Amino acid sequence: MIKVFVLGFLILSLFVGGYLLTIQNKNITNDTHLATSFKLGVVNSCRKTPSFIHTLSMKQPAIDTKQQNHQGGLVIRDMSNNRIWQDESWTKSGYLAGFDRDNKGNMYVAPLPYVSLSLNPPELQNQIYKIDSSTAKMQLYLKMPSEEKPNNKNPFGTMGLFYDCDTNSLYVSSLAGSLPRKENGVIYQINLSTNTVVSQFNTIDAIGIGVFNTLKGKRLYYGLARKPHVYSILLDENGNFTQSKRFEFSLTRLQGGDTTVAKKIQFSKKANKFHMTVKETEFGFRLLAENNPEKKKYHFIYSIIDDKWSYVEYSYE
Amino acid sequence: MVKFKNNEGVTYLIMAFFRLPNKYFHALFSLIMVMFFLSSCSSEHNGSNEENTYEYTGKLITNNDRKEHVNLAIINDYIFAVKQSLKKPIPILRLGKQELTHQDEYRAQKIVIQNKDFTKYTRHPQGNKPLRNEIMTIRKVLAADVSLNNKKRLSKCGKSCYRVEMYNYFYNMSTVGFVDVKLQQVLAVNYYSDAQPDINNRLKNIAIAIAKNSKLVKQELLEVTQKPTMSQIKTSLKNSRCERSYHLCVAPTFVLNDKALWAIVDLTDSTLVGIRWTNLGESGPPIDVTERQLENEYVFREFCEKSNHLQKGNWQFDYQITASDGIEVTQLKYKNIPVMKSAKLLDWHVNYSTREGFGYSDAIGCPLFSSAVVIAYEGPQVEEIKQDGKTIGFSFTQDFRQPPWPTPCNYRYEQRFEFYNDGRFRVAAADYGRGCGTDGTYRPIIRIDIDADKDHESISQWNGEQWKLWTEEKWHLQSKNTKYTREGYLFKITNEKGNGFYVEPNRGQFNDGSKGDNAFSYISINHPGRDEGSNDMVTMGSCCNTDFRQGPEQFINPPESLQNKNLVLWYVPQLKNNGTKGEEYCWADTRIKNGIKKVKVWPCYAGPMFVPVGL
Repeated sequence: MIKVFVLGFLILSLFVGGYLLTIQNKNITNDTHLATSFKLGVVNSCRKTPSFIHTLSMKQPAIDTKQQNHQGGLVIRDMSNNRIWQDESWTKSGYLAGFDRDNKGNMYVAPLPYVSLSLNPPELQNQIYKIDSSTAKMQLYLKMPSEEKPNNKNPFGTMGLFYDCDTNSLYVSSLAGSLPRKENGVIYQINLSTNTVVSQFNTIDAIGIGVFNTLKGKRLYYGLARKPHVYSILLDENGNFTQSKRFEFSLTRLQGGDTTVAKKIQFSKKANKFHMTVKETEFGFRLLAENNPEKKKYHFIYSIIDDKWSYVEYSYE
Repeated sequence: MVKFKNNEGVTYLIMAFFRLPNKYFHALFSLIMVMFFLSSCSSEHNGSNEENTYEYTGKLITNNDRKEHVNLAIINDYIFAVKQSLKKPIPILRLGKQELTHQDEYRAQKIVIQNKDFTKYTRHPQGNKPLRNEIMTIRKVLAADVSLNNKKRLSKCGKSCYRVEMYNYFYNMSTVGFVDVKLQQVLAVNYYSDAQPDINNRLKNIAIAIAKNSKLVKQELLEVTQKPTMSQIKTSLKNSRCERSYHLCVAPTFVLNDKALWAIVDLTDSTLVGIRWTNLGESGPPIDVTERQLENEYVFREFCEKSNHLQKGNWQFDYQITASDGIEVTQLKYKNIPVMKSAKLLDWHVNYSTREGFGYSDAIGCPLFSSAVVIAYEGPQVEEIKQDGKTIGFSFTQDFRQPPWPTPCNYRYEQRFEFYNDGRFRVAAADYGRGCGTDGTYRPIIRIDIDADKDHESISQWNGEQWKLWTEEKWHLQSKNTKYTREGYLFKITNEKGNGFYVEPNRGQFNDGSKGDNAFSYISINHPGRDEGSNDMVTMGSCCNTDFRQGPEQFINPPESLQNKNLVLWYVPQLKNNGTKGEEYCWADTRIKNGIKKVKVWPCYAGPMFVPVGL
């Protein structure tokens, strides 16, 4: 009888093990079967400058969402003379978290409660706005499909934005409804052709996000909102989330690192090398208006051989 | 004796058990093992269905309790050595010969401290005051020490080259010097701001002594007699574990089975900051315990997530730190008689007179999961109030700060309650600067719900001759023409029997350095079922109005009759700051004391006294 039981257990184990292996293989398919159009490196080089900026007659126009020296929100700043321009419709978003542009020059911005909730009431935080490339007008683009609502004990909704040219997707991180003892955040993938959420990564509190095509597939990197850790998750060829995530690095363990969190993740290509820049902030699910000039940016270089990001140095924002 | 390699032993045992042919069993077992290995040992894992939950287990030593180590000989000796070093022409606390392993290390130290680049930051540029500096490590130069910054200079470095690390406590920076003792030359000097080197053995011993002798650590470890492991105490040139104070902090850990007790020790002040338990044994992302984490967790868990009760003398009340309305005191009783339902501070309005419309509405509240921008530090503090050597009551205060305070454009506030043995009590607030300039005016929005009666409260104002009843909701501004009774009372809030409280506004008579309130007072009706400030308010009026439009006016417009109503008093003092030397008010500045930074404050207090009528 015991022999039968043990043999049964072994056979059952064989099936379970086989099933798990099959599932995992499915998740990491991109490691070995990349799309024919797949190209290693930066995925947002198709982004265009908004058309309206060309009409502003600025010498060195820059998109500025820093919350300093103006009443908040988005401005276009001429870096040559510090002159700023703001469309009257832009005030509706209040202060801002992340922003990004698409392949047509449209801009997308996420609201962020900063000094107080007066310009950023909680009920208007879990959404993103679109600024038309031609008219410069800001309009509500999409409310995140979540039952979790921002409130005065967690007034945050959408946070980080990142556009991927390969799949015409906008990724959005949201902290709406997260509780002190439980993560309820979501990272959404929005298809900009259909203006719908097509995939989402649940129960994850993330702020900064960024997509990069590694040697072994497309990955979305994300900085946790509660810890100084940066993780990544594998995306399939359509940019959908898979189940396969991995720890990348912790800001605290870098030379000169802090116990802060990653608020922005950017990728670029310089001198034939791929670079990642991670900007930090102190975050505790409370308003962010602290005048701390000591915020850092951490710089990494991608090693193709190892499929890893190597830390280089930090600099101050 | 039969020896098996790897899994052979297990395989043969199972084969014997089933009496199966060798080749079948090998294949079956290997397949199972491989599948289990592949399915469980991948570096990537399924994370979508994980339940990501958090615990807040940090414990904090509050500032008032951080003096328990002053009698440790090891610390007294160290403090004496620090003070002696500050008297020297080159204010550096050096390593003694007995602390070094080779004579050349001592020579390297002697050479490097004569180098002007190495000692560049050992004194403050203004006034040439000595700053606290300490040599931490001296060792031979390694290949890893050569960087782009010093590659050229160290190219000739042989076996006689040493690396000397010094920490500057004032700037929280490290200076690294490279010395060739044979040539008696300093080859290179590098500076690292916001970076702390590995500490010397002297400080390691102090850190262990502080941790081991702490009451809090002893309580946690109970009867365990285990030496703390110091493996995670620091790694070279990293930021401090005290990210807020910028002090030199380390974390001796006590490992017990599958758990570790982290003790954060502040070596700048020679104190324990706090402790936290973490789990061991799980591979994965690193765990860090820091000052900021302990402070936030402790305040959040103890004072934000739950209501507390305090009973002292004839007084008792509940209190809780809110998401954006500061600390709220509720159900206040004197001799078991209800006297106040609630008192809290909804916002600090700050405006700057030389910049039209420029300023902030600062909400104060919990350090985590709140809509506050200036957050609670530590928990509330209780202190006795003495007069002529006698205890006449006690104060109950809560500190709120923006972490970078007192750097410009960062703020610190205090809520203060005073309870006196004779039944008087005061609801007060203070600003500690520093703000964005010397042209600032601070206006705290204080809401006070006196409990004189359920729905038959009335308010009267002294007009110079008699008490004049207010018949409808309205506001009043304290000015030069305001009349007070001989005792200094302006209002009287009472019930039908005439019992209640006089309201004595602050005119600088409370011996707290205040220059008076110049306050707006509003009386509104407490409407049952209508949220007019009783719940946590998201925001309250504009930062920058200089007139009565501070927020409470929205509850008295249009004015309603006050007859047979429950009333709420809104009190909005106006405090003008001053940064002029000798006249500082609502201000803070950084000074040098014993070679480190110390913040000097000139708080401005405001708030009325409530004096019982008919009690």
